[in-house]
Parts: sequence; C-alpha cells; structure tokens
Amino acid sequence: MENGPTATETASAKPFWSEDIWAIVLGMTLLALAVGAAAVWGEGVSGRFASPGKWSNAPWASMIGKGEIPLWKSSLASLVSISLLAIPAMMLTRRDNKSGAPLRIFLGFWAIAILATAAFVMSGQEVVKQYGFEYVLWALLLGLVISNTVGTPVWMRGAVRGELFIKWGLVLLGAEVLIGTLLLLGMPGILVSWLVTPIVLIVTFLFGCRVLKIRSPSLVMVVAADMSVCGVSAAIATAAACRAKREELSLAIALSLCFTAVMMVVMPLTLRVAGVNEIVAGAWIGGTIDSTGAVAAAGALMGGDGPDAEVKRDRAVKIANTVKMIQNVLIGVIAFAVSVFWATRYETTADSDKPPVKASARQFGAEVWRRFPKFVLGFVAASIIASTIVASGAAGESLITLSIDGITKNIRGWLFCLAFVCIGLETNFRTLLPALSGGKTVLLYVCGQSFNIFLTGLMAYLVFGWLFYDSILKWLPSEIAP
Amino acid sequence: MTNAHSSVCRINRGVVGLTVAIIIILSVWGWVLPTIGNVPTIRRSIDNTQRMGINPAAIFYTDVYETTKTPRPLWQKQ
Repeated sequence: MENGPTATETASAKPFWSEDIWAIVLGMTLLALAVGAAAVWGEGVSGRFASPGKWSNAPWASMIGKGEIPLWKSSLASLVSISLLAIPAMMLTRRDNKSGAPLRIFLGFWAIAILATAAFVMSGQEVVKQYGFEYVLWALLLGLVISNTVGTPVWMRGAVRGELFIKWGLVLLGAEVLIGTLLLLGMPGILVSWLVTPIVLIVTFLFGCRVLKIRSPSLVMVVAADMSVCGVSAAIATAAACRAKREELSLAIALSLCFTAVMMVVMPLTLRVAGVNEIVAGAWIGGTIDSTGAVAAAGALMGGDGPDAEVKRDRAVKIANTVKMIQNVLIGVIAFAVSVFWATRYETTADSDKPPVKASARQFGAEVWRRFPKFVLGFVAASIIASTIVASGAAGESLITLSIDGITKNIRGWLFCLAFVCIGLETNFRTLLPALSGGKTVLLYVCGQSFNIFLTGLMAYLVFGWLFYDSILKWLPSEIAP
Repeated sequence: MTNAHSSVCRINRGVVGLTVAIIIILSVWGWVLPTIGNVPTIRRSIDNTQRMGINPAAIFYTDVYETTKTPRPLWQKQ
C-alpha cells in the first residue's frame, strides 16, 4: 500500500490519547448529554439542534424554517455545542505550535463552520435535494475550491481535523444503528439484506483487486461498501475502518451520488414499464439504490397512474425503506468486519507492509490491536448501549428516539459536514486523478452495481414475490394509510 | 525577484480562480437551480416528495421521515 494522507489518518506512533480515543470520549460524552437532556426535557429537546433547511428561490429561507425555533438559532446551537467539545480536544491534540495556537484553532474552527453552513444551504436547494446530492458533496466542493485556488490559510490549518470529525460522527452514528432493526423483516430481510449485501461486497472487492487489479485495496473496499451497503454513510464508515485515503473516499462518494441521481429516476420507471409487482420492486429498489433517501424517493415513483396508485406507491415505499433500514444497520457489522480484516491482512502505516504472520500469537495479537482503528469500538459500544436501552421497553425506546431525533443525528450531520470541508481543504485536485485508476474505479462501480442489481432482483423475486409474498402482503395493509 | 514575481502571479491566479468559482456557485444556486425547479415536471416531482415527507438527500435511515417510527417486525404478526 502506498503511504499517504488517509481519510481517517492515525499517527503510527500512537500515544494513548490518539484521535480514536478522543473520538470515543467526545462521542460518548455527547451521547450521555443527549440522553440526559432527553430524560429531563422530553419533547422539549426537539428542534433545538438542527441544520439549514430546504429552500426554493431565496437561500435565506433555509435559515428560517417552519418550526418554532428559527433554523439559524438551532444551527448555531449545534455548532456551539460541537465547538465547546472540539476546540479543547483540538488544542490538546494539536500537531504543531504554529497552526495549533488556541486563537488560530478557534478562528479556524469557525471559518470551517461557516463553510459547512454554506454547504448545508447549497444542499437545501429543492432541486439539489430532489436528486439526492447530499451536503457532503458540497462541503467537499467548497473545501476543494479554497485549497485549489488561494490555498488553505495557515491560521485555519490547526482546525482542519477531518479525521477527528469523521470518527466522532461515526461514534454518534453507532447509536443510530439499532441491532433489533436487523430482524425487522425476519427471513425475507435476512435473505435480501444479510445474504445479498455481503456477497456483493465480497465479490466486488475480489473483482476490483484480482480482475481489474486496482492497486489500492482500500479504494476498492470503499467503492464496494458504498455501492452494496448504503451509500455515503457506508463509505464513510468503511473508509475509516480500512484507513482509505481522503481522495479515495471523496471519489467513491462523488461516484455514488452521480449514479444514484440517475438510478433513482431510471430504476422505478423501468420497473413500472416492465410491470414488476410493487412489493418486489420495493425490495429491489431498497436493496440496490445506494443512498437511503434516494430509495424512499425512488419507491415513491412506483405508484403509476392507475386507481390503486396510492396503495401501490405506499407499499413500494414501505418495503424499500424497510429493506434499506436493514442494510443501513448492517454498516455496524460491516465496519467492524472490515476493520478486523484490515488490521490482520493489510497495513497502511509506514513501518511494515505485511501482516505479522510469523510472529508469536501474543505478538500477532498486539500488532493487530495496534493497527485496529479503536474508534470502531466506540461505534459498536454506542450501538449496543442504544439497542439495549431500546430493547428495555417503551420508555427506553422513546428516550433513544428523542435523543437521536432531537440531538445526536443533527450533531452527527454537522460533524460529517465539517469533516468533508476539512477533507476538501486538504485535497489537491491532482491527487483525485490517480484514484480514478484510469477509469477502472468507474468500471468497478458499474460492474459491481450490475451484479448487485441482478442478485438483488433475483432474491427480491424469490423472497418477496414468491416465498413470503402472502405474509408480506398481510403485514403491509394494516400500516398503510388508506 | 523572479521567485517573488512568480509567487505574486500564483496568488493572483488563486484569487481570480476563487472569484470565478464564487460567481459560478452564486449563479447556479441563485438563478439556474431555481429556474429548473419551476419546470413543470420537476416541480410536480418535488411537490410529490415533499407531500410524502421524503428527504431524497437523507444519509442514514434515521434521517428519513418514513422510518423515524420503527415499523412493527414482520414476524411479530405471524
């Protein structure tokens, strides 16, 4: 593996208080505060933390919103909360005294926060939103524009900590990965998501490494996970787990968003023209289209114009969303598996390039532990804690739902947005070209997605159209509005 | 002198590049996209997704309105 900047770079000579440990501490602290706030204020936490919203013609409308609290206030509340935890952490883990001076870190953080706000406003434009171009793309673009024109100013550099923001965001995302969701559809869900997703991931990875001979396995893994699991969130999680370079993550996300924008329109229309049953089509769309939001939008196009269009559309959306939910939750399992696989199979640090297979079991264990991205433990722990609280009963479920919906998912969104501004600020356009591997990356995506479409379609027909059709049909009507 | 001159040229090129990028972004978001949003077919699809509470740009399932209330498991009814 080539050495270079990684999306979640970890220093090879790691002190105990590495960025991974900070991400766990910051993530867990924020989660504890969110659960505490939800327990004390209940519904009162809703709307207090947010990001700029949707707008049509006037960008400033994205800062107002329709709720009681204007969005500029709740956006500012989110950023202030992040800054209170992030700025001290950045000061304690600063890389050098020049760019790491407290005032520079403070100013740098707020400059990045302004760019992140601009990225949210750009993603809030209704046409941009309609075609699923998520804020991460615009955050990356704004960062790239600055770094490739005037360059990232020295006074900002101390706060350009994409890795810290990504890992912290992923620990928070862990709390949204509720394990019980994996079993939501029982056997049909297991067959379509649990079986097809890992098969597509592994086959695409092997195809990219062995057939296309793409030189960077981490690039292949990020593209495979992005395409087979759930788009941007899976790309971020696996990039962090396999320490992919930041340009590899950027490329995988850009590819996925471009193909998603096409697929979310073409796929439902094709399935409608082909006369595919809406339940099968929902499962097919849910298992195939990368991005979670795009799945819901594509499912909504399944209704058609007939008298039962509403019911068909609701059924397709319901099935597509549920299948995608299960796939979303799989990112916990996949990120953990990838991090273990990478720690034992690949090395990205400068001191060695092969796994220590000849070492004693103890040395091997110690080496694997050294390489293991520790923040993954925070991600898994957050998932287990949230799932346990949800499983404890209705009160627990309500507490976690309030904490996630009211606080942590908004903060997580800001953290990812800040991270992608930082990635853009640290990336040179020229480094993106080698990541394309002479077009092989696009070919990998196209071949992997074609295989995904074929296998998911086959399984959707078998499971949702034949084996479990009756039980799925019984499950649907009672929950669908007439 | 030559180094200082090339450094000034690079900075100037950077400032021009940034200005051009800002103008492009402002034009696309300020005029092009709102105009596209008023094309009848696109307007209809935007209104549809809005009516259904769908956020096509959601990153994770918890960002999708439809899934914020976890559905009852299939096997529970069986």
